[in-house]
Amino acid sequence: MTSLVLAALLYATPAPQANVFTLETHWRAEDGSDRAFSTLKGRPFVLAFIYTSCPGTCPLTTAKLKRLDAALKAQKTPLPMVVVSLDPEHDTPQAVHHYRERYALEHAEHWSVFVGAEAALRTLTQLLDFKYAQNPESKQIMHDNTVYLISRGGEVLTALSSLDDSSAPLLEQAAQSEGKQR
Amino acid sequence: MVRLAALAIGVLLSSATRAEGVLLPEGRFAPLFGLDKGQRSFAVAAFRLDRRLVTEAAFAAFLRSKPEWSSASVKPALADERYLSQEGGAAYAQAPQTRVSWFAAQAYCEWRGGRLPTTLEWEYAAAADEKVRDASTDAAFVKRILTWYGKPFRREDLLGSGSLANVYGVEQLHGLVWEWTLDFNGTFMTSDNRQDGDRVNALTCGNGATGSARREDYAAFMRYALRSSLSARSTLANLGFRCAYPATEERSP
Repeated sequence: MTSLVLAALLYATPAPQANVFTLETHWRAEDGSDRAFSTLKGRPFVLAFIYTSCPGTCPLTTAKLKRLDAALKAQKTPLPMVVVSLDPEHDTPQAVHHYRERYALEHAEHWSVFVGAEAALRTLTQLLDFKYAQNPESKQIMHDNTVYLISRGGEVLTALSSLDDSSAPLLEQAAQSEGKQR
Repeated sequence: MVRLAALAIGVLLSSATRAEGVLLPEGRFAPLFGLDKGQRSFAVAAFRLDRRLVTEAAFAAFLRSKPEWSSASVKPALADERYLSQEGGAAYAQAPQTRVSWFAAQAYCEWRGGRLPTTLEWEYAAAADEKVRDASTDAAFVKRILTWYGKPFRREDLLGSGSLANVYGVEQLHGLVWEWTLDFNGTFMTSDNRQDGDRVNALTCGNGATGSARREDYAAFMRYALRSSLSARSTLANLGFRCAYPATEERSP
């Protein structure tokens, strides 16, 4: 058995670059419509995972996203900001509405909040190797805090894996990526 | 005509396997990991679980319906190089399908109208022996499982029967293969995650065993360790799967 675990590690070859469109996933958009994740194709975007009732790091994640958003605008490479809910059960349309109010995002039309079924959420997070676990009783969710810059084709261009990570690599990559397009 | 007969058999088989799904009643269970301070167990809602592991024959039917999951067509991001690489032919038709990635296993279960069981659900089912629902602290039960874990794996072992029906009627939970779960990497324990600033160090060296709910259940500890060593595109010669379904699911007519 020990050898089996080691074997699993030894044979693990570097995975191909993560791409969020490798498998299609479907989500509830804020207007209640069904939205395929692939409709995001064609433009780079910033992607993060939160849940609206999160008492721990999520406010920090959202604050970081807002800073990123402002910095992207400041360097003249504004990008769509995509927030995916880690708690489909509790992130009702109303909860998402309150989330926008709480963070003064009511008029931020380039922000989208996606809520999906568990299978969609597991699939998307596995594509990114993003880890989360919900305590079934307290409903608290332990999760990674990675913020991603995704290319127009779905590839991960930059992943800021810790809230303490500098945003500079993401901003530089966004500038480069948007520069290429022009 | 032959094709029609094959189709009829296929339909019969698929409805037969569907009927094999076993209802697991709601209950409470203390998984080895995941309990917070002050929590003694979790409620587990009723669900249905395949009585037996998904076989090579059943998986072949899936591949005929969804050829994008064949080893020739599958996208490299969804399965490693050894995906479906086992050989054995017809003798293994009723053996558990192994060398299958999480993505393929979950796709199979969705095709069947289900999903992979969560780790909590799987451990809840697998804690039962032939007589009691939770034998996870029964030294003899744990020893039986550990004896299997200690044996080197040979492909022909997949032709064995695995563990007999437990108190719920679920078979093969032990003794044949490891199994995928929906949230296999959702336990926040990796072999060494010190570089990931925000992750919780549940399993840095010996930490995992001491922080767990039941120190005596070393078998469960090994399962969590195995799961945490996998990525969703991993395949192993002795890693298979079965599917779970809602408790209220209507049987197909």
